Amino acid sequence: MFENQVVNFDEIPKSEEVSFVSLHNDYGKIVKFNSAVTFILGVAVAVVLYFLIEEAEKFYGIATVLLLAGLLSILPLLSYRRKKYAFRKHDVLFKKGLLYKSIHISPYIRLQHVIIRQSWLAKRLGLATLSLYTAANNHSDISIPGLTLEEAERWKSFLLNRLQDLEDES
Amino acid sequence: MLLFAVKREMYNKYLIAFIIIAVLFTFAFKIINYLYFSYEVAGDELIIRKGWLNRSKTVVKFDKIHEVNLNQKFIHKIVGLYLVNIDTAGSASTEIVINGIDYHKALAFKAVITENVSRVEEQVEADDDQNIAIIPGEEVIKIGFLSLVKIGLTRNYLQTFGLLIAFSFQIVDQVQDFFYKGQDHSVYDDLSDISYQQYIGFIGIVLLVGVMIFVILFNLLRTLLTYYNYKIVLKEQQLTVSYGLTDSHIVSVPSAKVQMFQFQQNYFQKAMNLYEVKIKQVESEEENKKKKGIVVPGADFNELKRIFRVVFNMDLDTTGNFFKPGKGLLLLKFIWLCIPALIALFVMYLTDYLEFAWLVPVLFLLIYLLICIGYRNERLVFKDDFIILRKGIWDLSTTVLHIDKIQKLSLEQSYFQEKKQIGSLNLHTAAGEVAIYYYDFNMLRRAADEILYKIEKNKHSWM
Repeated sequence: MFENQVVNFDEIPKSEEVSFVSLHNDYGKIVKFNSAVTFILGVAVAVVLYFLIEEAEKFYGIATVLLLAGLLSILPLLSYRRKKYAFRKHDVLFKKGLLYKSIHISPYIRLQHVIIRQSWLAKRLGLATLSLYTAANNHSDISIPGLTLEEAERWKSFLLNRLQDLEDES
Repeated sequence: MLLFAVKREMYNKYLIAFIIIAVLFTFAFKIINYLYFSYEVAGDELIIRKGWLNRSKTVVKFDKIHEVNLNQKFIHKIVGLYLVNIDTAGSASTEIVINGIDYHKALAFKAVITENVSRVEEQVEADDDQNIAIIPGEEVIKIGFLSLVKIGLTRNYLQTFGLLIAFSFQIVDQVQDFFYKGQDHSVYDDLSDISYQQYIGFIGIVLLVGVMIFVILFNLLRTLLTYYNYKIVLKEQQLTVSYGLTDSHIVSVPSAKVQMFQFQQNYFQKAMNLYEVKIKQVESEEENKKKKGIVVPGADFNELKRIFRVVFNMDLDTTGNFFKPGKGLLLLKFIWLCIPALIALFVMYLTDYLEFAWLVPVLFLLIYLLICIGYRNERLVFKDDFIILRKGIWDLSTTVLHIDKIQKLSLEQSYFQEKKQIGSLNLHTAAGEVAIYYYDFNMLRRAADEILYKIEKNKHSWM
């Protein structure tokens, strides 16, 4: 039942050598918008704290909130350019992370379904997110943001075709 | 006044009438549900019809069925009926429940669905002692009362201890509500007074020993009740397990649907040649509280090997070249451990409790020793198509994962790990995640490429 053929190691394709594609430039706008919203919310919370609390110690709390809001809004700005993807013949790769780098790899043969999602801003910019679901727990699945809607739809049909092919072969 | 009383009486009457009607209605609905529920096996499909006004018809193909469980709650046991749970692949939460089938039908049902053979008749003819009928050619592993006692004495200390802590807080709170209501000081003050006065005294030791004995006895009782009369039937490609004293369960799992295989052993169990085996299946997202799969509370090494053979059609072999996490892990954990230690010292300094400062280094060393033991125990083996990861401090658990069961993988590396060529590999399966943390990154990358290569080339299905 189990095949276990001897393989020359050089035959195995290396995931290191894959050339990745960056996300669409307009994706930066979405990230910037989200960062701005996060920062404004942080400032709003700080202002509310300023007027609500009487004690002098409130400045510690306000400083923490501002620092947190600043970090949460700056980190995505720095790291979004690191998000890259690649479709190979048998699997899809998605790379991300600035300080904590990760590559997620999902073989097509294990895909369950493919979904295209658009937020309202992405819709205005003509962008879409392609989410690939496997039978593993859902929150760990790959979703590639910052594709144009056309790209996303073409990749989706490519994936569905590949899935069909793989099903026919096995 | 009188009027009010009359009104009140009227009101009471209405209430009683309302309750009676509600009860009657529920009864009626239950009976209607019962009358309009039917199941049918047609060809390779199971058809379930239910509902009176809203009729529904569910059709399930046998090959989409993961697992068929026969359960008996206490009431079922008295009446002699079974509750059949059928788990299907695909949508996570649609599980089919057939409540109240008699023993013969339930068994026949299970046999038809799980193996689709005509041997059913023969099987139903067999004995009626609430056990699985045995067909020649099957292997049976039984766990006797004595070994169950042994198992009960040695397993799950931590889990029980956690339960106990949760319980004791509740008990203390109850005491607080009952005796200390309206008083200024709380039960915690008295408790801390007593424990402060003689905190290394006699009472402490008695309490500790008492708790330990209680944990052990509680564990023993729990194990005996749940796993009483434990029996595994090993057939080709199929495992069937039956157990339970007050609630009984019969679970069968086809080997192709097994997602992960785990066995664990602590130092006591090692001395007695006992393993706890966990066979994991697809976890549904919505009902994570309901664990699926099979737990064998105790099996010796030979039985473990036999179970493994049935599941994977291969011999269990965990030996071979092994990898270990990078040595830097020990340094990293040392630094991480320093943070809570320093915080504790700082808090003690602020609250003038510095006379207890000696506790911090002692605890620090103890925990670090445990971490070192954990490091020594951890090893990773790639063997044929299996990934075998052993880890643990007290309970040594070994996870055996077949490459075909991997759904997705991710390679991760932090900025600091980059220079040291260290990283981690996460293998996501339908039964959870296997994290290989802090190993040589080049090795992991090669392993990941090889895993992908095998999955994509072999094109085996994962269930």
